[in-house]
Amino acid sequence: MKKVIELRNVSYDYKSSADERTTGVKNISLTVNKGEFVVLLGHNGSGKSTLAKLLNAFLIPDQGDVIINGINTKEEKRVFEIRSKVGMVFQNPDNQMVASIIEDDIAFGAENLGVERQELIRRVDWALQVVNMHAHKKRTPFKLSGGQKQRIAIAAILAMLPEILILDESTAMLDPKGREEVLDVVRKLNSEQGMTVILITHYMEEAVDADKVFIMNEGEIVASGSPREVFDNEKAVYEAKLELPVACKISHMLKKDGFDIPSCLTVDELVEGICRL
Amino acid sequence: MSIVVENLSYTYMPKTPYRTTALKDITFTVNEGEFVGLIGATGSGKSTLIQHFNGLIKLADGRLTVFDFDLSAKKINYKALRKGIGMLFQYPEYQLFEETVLKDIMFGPKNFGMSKEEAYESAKRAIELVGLDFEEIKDRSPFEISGGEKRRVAIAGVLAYKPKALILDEPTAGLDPSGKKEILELITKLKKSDAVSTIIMISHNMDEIAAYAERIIVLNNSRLIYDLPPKELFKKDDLQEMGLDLPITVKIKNALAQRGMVLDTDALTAEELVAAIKQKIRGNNG
Repeated sequence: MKKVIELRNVSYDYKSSADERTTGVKNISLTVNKGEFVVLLGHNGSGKSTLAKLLNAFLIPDQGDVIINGINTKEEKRVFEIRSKVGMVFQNPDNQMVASIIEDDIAFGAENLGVERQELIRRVDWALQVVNMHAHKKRTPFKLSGGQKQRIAIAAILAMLPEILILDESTAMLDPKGREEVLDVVRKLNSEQGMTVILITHYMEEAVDADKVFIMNEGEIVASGSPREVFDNEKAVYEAKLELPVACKISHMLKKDGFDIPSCLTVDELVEGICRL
Repeated sequence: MSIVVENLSYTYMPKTPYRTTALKDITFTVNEGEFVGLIGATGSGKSTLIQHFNGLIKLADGRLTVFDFDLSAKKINYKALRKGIGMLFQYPEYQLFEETVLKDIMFGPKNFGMSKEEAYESAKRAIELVGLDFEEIKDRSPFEISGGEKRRVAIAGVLAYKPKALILDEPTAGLDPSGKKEILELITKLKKSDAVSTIIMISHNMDEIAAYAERIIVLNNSRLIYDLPPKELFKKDDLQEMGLDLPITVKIKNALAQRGMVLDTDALTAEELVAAIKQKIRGNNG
């Protein structure tokens, strides 16, 4: 499997003045392979966004190395190469719109990369189809719902043909329907286009079908592995001020009461487990 | 009684081709001391409804009484009305604007006519009510504190003018699990401490509304569909058709029923559900 992201002992501190420092991330090592769906969990201020910013060379580590597609983010001359490969979608959909017509908004990033016109038109059409917003092409993005705006933000990234898509709490401001719309698009990109996805979230339920989950607390990775491995580590989850998905919590409660039930991640698994008792 | 709504209807841009009905024939009462949840899909009319309560939207059709104010009257003292209703919009921290936390919190009370001294005392009390350290935070910029602190400061800014009722539009949106819990516990504490007597909370998070509201009002397509206690409401089988989510415990219960395991319970918490499951299994085997 091809490594697309590799972090080796990465640390980063925020320096507000000469002698004041706050830890962003501390001694992080991890790898992400091409096509993986990775979820990064952690409470506010745990270092998730700092980590995300280190991945597209917004921030350069104080110590250690961040290697994206074989390029070290310290190589200043290749920063744009990295940023064209790592697309980021942020939390607030209203802050990510640059143009007053949707197709212009989608074209903006790719146009800045110097994509020629015919290719640009092709990419805009394709990206809008992927996020299922093609019917809105000629309209303004400002009257859309939050979920639709985030899909436009994702399409704008897609038009740049990134290899890695990072969503930094991109579902936090959406209602349940909007959240589902965005997650559907992201899952589809991952399974159908083989896009590597890093999803940063505080919704535990969004982590259950990830390939890999990392939990961050105070700048460090405190648990990692498959969703099952991570949520079985109840202590680490609670110490990181997070919660278990409810289905998982219930399966653990039943197990503690002496029932022979495996650790469950989803409602379906839990129901299956209970029916077998 | 604090809020009485009778046959309230509202249409945006009436008498134009763009008219849209936002509320249709809404009737309900919120009693003093209640914690009422207000739910409904995006566009169901929730925001239009709460904006009537402090006169941000003028009553057009029906009757509305908010504390001592009859909003169908010809002349309304809006300032006095608004002092009684603390309205906290979504992401209230975006509305912080002053140089220091203290100045920001004193802005409301001063606008409602309190003297500088009164406003100071009131701000101090409000900061303490939301669980922040007055001396530590008062001179800091509201822009350099953490997200959770910002939201608390925004709540303090409303509490400082001592409203009788608090209306919260998705107070936990965007917060992490522990931040959500802190805010919900703060709201419960405020209600117990009599700092505010009546609370109306809008939320899309059914687990949170089920756990905290005493009564839930459901809007769908501009109409009031249900007005029930949580345990009664979440027995209804048409909520999902209205674009509403269900508490996850209810989803589990429904999925078990489909597989033939019918639980005779109105459980909403994980603990209640586990107890019901245990009882059922032991009953079957015993």
